[in-house]
Amino acid sequence: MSFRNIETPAVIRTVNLTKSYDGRVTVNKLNLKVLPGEIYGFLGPNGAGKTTTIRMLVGLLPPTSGHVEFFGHPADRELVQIRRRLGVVGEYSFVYDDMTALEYLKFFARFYGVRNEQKRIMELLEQLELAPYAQLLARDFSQGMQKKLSLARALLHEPDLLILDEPVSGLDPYGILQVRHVLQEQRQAGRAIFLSSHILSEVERTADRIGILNKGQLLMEGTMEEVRSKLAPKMELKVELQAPIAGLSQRLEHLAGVKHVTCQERVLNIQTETDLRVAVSQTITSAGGLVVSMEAQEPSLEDVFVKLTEGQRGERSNGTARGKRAA
Amino acid sequence: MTRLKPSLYLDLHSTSMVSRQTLRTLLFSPGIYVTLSLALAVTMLLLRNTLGVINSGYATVLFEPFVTPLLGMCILGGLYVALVATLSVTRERESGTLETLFYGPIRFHDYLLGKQVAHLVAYGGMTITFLLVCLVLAWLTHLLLTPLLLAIAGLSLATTAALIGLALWIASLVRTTRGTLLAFVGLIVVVLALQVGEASLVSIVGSQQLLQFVFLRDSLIFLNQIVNWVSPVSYLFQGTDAAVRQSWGEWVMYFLIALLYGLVTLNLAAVQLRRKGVLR
Repeated sequence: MSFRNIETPAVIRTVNLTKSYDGRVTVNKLNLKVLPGEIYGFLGPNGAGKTTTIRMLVGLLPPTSGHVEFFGHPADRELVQIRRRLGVVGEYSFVYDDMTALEYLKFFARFYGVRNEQKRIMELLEQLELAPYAQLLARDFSQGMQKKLSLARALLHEPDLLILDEPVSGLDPYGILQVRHVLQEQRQAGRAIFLSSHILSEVERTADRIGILNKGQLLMEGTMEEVRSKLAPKMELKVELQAPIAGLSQRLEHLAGVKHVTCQERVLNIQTETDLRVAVSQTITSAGGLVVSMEAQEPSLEDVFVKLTEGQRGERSNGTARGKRAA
Repeated sequence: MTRLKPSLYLDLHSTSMVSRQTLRTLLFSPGIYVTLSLALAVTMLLLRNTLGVINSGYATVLFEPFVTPLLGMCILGGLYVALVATLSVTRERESGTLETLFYGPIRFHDYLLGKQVAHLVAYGGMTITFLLVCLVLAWLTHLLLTPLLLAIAGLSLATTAALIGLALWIASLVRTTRGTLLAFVGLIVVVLALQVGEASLVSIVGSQQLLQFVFLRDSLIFLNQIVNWVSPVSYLFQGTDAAVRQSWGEWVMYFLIALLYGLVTLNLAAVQLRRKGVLR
């Protein structure tokens, strides 16, 4: 699947989307595109403007300027019809005080006009392991269970696009696994997912493309590989040899693309600009060495995220907190 | 590009969903039953007095003994459902469930109309129950019961729709439950104070020649004239007066004005809710 095909109609497209409160810009000329069938990870530190962006996307906050399109339709004119194709899980799970989990899901199933509602509800309750608690008041659920109930609500009508704000926050490891499984299933079914999260490892594991937002601006967008290569073009190879070989470091340093080699007994650390695993292996073999193990270490999403946002950490705390309160 | 379906079905569907869910909450809360019981208790007391007057020989026939109790029920019931309507919107906003609802295919008008319809249906139920009890009481006491009551009850549906519209508008203007409650109760207190103040001053200034209160009296009369234009309850009184006089054209006019009032305030509430948003 190519995510770079600009001819593919976007599931979400924002054009210069901006939100400001009292002259303070919370989201600044945001241009992003989510393509059909992909999981788009929307990252940013606290107060970056992620939740404000999501609220503008789903029509709960009017943008100060710019606009949003879903499935090629302008959101401001066809919002009600568009919302029918969206499944949204907000940052917080809000449930009706007087409804059991089953009643809650039934209400929303009827609200969205779901056919075979009972079957669909039971499917989702089983899948998210909430079936034993179906008759309990939803307000008595733990935070994690309420989050799963919200996800079930968002999935009831089999939406074309899921917009999830922190979907795994408050979940235990089993809950995270269930949600991850559900998201993969949704992607396999061809649905697009817009996933905003602080949990970088979760996004790294699930997202096809990511966008990194900071201080209301989209700093970078692309596949994990693209983002990594732009920000941290180096790859680090850790090679364990059967026995040390004299002069091997010098031979390796002469290879095109190798930046730096360090050697400690039988272990070599080689920094390269590209993937040179084959060339390194051949060089070691030709020098009469034997490779016991070779490990390629790429920069993690956390490394990329920190590198992108670290310069602006100090400035962030004051400005965005006010924007959040206003939101 | 996929064509999106027209929204008419969805709108009515969403309105009906909100309405049913709100009505369910209303029917499972004790408030509606307490209000109806209170209205019936007051009715019993008034009828007891009426029967006492007849038994003492001061009067043999009283004109429409059920009109005053019915008007009392209409005002009490109308104010109750209006108060509950305003609180239900602010509570849903405060608890965040309004936000969740608006992730779905619903417009501000659909939501507010659903609220208005639910509370109006609850009020209609109260009125029908009250009329049935009146029917039984009339049969037991042999007091006069005429179709005039139906005319008043019908008119009260329109004026209550207007009251609920006004209440929803207040809910869209004020963000917190406490603020909404204060605004709603404050408005009632101001209107009552104006009317009591005017009645008192008119009698005092007239009988004791207290000229220093003339300006205040005239000011209150003027303010009450404005209140008569903006208060749905005054349309109920004026429409009832028209029905008693059998001036049916006038009755229809007040009925329609009240309905229009309800629609206008509902739209104002929708515009305001759109402007303020549904977020906590």
